[in-house]
Amino acid sequence: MEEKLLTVQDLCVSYGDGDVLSGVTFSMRAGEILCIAGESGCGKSTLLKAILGIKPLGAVVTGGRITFAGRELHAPVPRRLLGAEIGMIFQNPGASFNPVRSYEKQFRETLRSHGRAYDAQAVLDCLETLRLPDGARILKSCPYEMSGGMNQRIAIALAMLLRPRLLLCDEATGALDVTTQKAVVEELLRLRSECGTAILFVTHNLGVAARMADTVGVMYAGRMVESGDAAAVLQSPAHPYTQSLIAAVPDFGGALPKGLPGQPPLHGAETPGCAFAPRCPHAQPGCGKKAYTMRQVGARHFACCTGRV
Amino acid sequence: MEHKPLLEVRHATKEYKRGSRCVRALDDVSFTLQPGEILGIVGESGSGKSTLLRQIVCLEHLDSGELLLDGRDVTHAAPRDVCRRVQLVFQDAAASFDPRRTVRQSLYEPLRLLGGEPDPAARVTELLRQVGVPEELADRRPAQLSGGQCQRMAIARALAARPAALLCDEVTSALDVSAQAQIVRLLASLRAGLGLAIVFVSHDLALVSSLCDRAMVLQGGRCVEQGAANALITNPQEPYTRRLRESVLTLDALRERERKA
Repeated sequence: MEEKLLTVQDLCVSYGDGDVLSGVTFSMRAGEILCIAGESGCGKSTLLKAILGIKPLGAVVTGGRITFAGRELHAPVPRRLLGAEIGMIFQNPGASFNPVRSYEKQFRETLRSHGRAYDAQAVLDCLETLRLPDGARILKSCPYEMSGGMNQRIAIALAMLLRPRLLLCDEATGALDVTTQKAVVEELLRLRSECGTAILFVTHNLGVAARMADTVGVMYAGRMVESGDAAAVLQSPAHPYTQSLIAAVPDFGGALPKGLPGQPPLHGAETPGCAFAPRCPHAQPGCGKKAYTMRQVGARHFACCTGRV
Repeated sequence: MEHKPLLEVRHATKEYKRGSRCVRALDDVSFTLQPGEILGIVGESGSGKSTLLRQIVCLEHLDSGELLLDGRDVTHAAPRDVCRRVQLVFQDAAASFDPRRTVRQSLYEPLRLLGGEPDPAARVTELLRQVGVPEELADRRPAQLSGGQCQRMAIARALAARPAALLCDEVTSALDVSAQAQIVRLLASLRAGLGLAIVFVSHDLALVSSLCDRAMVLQGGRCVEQGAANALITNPQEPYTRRLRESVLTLDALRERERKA
């Protein structure tokens, strides 16, 4: 059997007054691109932070295990793994740079701390492919001088220069223009094909998932509600929530995208059965009580509900 | 019969000084907005979209060109002269509210400043209904609302002045797809219900094509293409418009991948 690069088994994270993640299970092969989709507040970012061993204030891992390349990961994750083996691109890149230190100094510092040499030409090439021409001038500037989009692309460049085995991306393209978003997605695909980097890409945009994902997981209220091959999940979504996310993606058909009314439950809103039932167009009286179980709905395609009773 | 345009921008040009350099943020941009029309403005960061909106609400003034509102020249007017007719809604709704006040208190503010509202409490209730937020959410602070709810509140505050046009600056860009779809539907329903004209600034051509009647593409401060939104999408004339269109990742990307494979 093919060895898994990353395995997350029954991961539970709680904020004290309720679970943010409950029983999240998935695994990734080397070089695989997994996109995890869901609305704001579904626990996507908490999942990435749990893998990195970074706990948001008040969060407690209450159960489950995370295995990376055969070793179990515990917080704090060893420094030598972070960045070099497991890279991370945060949603807010401004917060991951020192605002008043030049990019060049920060690039040198990061590469050196991971035992890599600073190759000026490689850095410039990397910036160029991310649609950042005039790299020499950029490297001399400081993060506070740059727009959010620029900062994001530079953070992506730095993460890619380290060529990690696993790259975690938290809405890495959310703040970017469509043209830049496309360039970043293409660049991540190139990183995967050249270096075999596995990418765990958290997004709310299924269009991005359609372009790059091998497998897709859909999360709602801290639970994985559907997962499987990208084609299966995106072309024949089983879970009513996945169907509604797909209907919300704008296309060129001329019709307004359909938004799902209501809000996902807040952290700690404990629901005994299906948390999606209050917003679900197919909800039945018993839905709020049924236990949560993932079932196979197709070849390499799993869902906890199919909207049919 | 030709309607009298609500807003007319003629040869708008604006430059900013950056050290010793001069950056031309707007270069001879002209367009009109009819009452009740939704106009999309598409372009990347730095294309001049936000600069254009700031000139229209008179937060800044054009270096050259003219700005006409209801046929009246407002090129050198102050923001308070135009705020009853045009209102600006920002991308980061949460940052546009005072974090220490409840949203309801913030909604009273424009009513107080503009005056002439006999029953402000009833007007706030009406505004909340127009944007589809439950009344009780108004007693929360911005940080206690989701991105989509906050953006609805910002739209409600803009509607307080009973404007004829809303200028929406990337109002959906920071939201997830479900909230984004809801805001786009809200804008469409406000146009239908109140006859509101809307300038919808976005970098997402797909979203613009679904909401807007007409669209304009800006590149480096210049208008490179302008026309009916549908025609612009189905038959873009300019290579830049085509590139923008090809950059939008829709679910078709999956079929494209399968075809290539």
